[in-house]
Amino acid sequence: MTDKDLMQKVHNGSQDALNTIVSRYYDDIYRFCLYLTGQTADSYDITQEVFLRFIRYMDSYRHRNLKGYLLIIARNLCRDYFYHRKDTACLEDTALPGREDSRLAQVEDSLLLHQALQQLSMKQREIIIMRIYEELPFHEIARITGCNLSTAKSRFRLGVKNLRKILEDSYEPS
Amino acid sequence: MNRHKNPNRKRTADKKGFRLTQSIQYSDHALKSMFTAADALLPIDETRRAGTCRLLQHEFRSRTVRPLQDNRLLFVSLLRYTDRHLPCLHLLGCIAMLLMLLTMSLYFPTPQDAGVMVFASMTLPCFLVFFSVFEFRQICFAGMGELSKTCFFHIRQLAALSMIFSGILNLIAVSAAIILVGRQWKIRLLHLGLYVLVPFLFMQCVCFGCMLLEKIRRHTWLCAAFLLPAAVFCLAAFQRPALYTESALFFWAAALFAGIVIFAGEMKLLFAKLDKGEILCTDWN
Repeated sequence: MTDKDLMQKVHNGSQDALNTIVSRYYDDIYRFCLYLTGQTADSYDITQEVFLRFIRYMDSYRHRNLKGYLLIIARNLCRDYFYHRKDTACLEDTALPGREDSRLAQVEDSLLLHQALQQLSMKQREIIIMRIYEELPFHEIARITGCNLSTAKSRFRLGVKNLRKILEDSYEPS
Repeated sequence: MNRHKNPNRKRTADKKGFRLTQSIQYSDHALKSMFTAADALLPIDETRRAGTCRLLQHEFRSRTVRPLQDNRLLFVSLLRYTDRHLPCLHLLGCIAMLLMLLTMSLYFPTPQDAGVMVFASMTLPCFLVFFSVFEFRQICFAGMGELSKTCFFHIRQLAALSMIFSGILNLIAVSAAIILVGRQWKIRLLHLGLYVLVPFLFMQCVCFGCMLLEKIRRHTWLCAAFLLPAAVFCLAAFQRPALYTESALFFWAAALFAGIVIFAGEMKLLFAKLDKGEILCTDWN
């Protein structure tokens, strides 16, 4: 069932359609928030708030892309979160379970990625997540972030350059 | 930041040179792979997800009923939740009115009887207004508001749709009456249209004006009392041939325009009251 069909059903009061939307996008929104904030518990709270706001303001939903619409809400809530917290935290260790030897490299890479992301500015971070992780087209990213297309592209280029540099610097050549 | 040692990366660095390896390692594709790998290490807490679902369902249930967007569902709701007897009675009323005019045309066939037929065509459609009022009242006071909370339909939207259908039925019947009388007694349709629509709209304004008043709203039959002034109005107009001259058309047109404005204002007020809950939709008495 397409997002449009689901939205129509939700507008007509279907709770099943709402559950389908939540199950379809909950993980993506949560991980988007987690990559932005680096805080597990706060990301769950923000994700919950994203869907609550979606329900409260769904009458004003005119976005053609439902995931994009949810990402707009998530992105704005994350910005509020940083505005109120003022500090940028690193990913908590609890967010990375199962540190067996066989997965050590994977865990290290993951931790490194999170730490590298937290070193980027909020604007660059969100665009990198949206482009590389969510694989959104630039025009959609521009719409979500409220900037023009060329700004989105230049932010992405600069962000990726910085991210690569941070990742390269984090390894010890030996 | 902590500096990590990655054994896999070290091996490739030995083979191809560190700089070259790093530039290949962190291409967009490689970054995407890192995200994917990181995802695998970030399991979703199912209890949190279930908690969010519960909260959303509670929020969803407690929100006010929104208008339906699916026209088919809206129409189905109208058929399912409203009383179907009243629209059927309304249709029968329209047919009865036209039959009465047809019967009268048999008794008053001559051109000299045109005045009587104009008077009849001005008065008879006024009765149709009652059907519209009863249909609106049925939506307001037959427990529909309570039903809307459990059956998830929007009371204002349903009332509006019901009024639209009722209005269309009335307009078809009135148009048929105008054409019937106008063609048989050779009266220009525009003139006759004005003569018929003005008292009809006058009745609409009076009856829906009554619905705006709290005390009269519950006693719809009181609206019937206002048929008397409407009849007096028609009779007074009938007694004054000067009102049917070409020069008086401006008066009729102005009256029609004023009626439309007043009626539109009344409907807006009525729906605003319905929206605010000033009209008690849950009242079963």
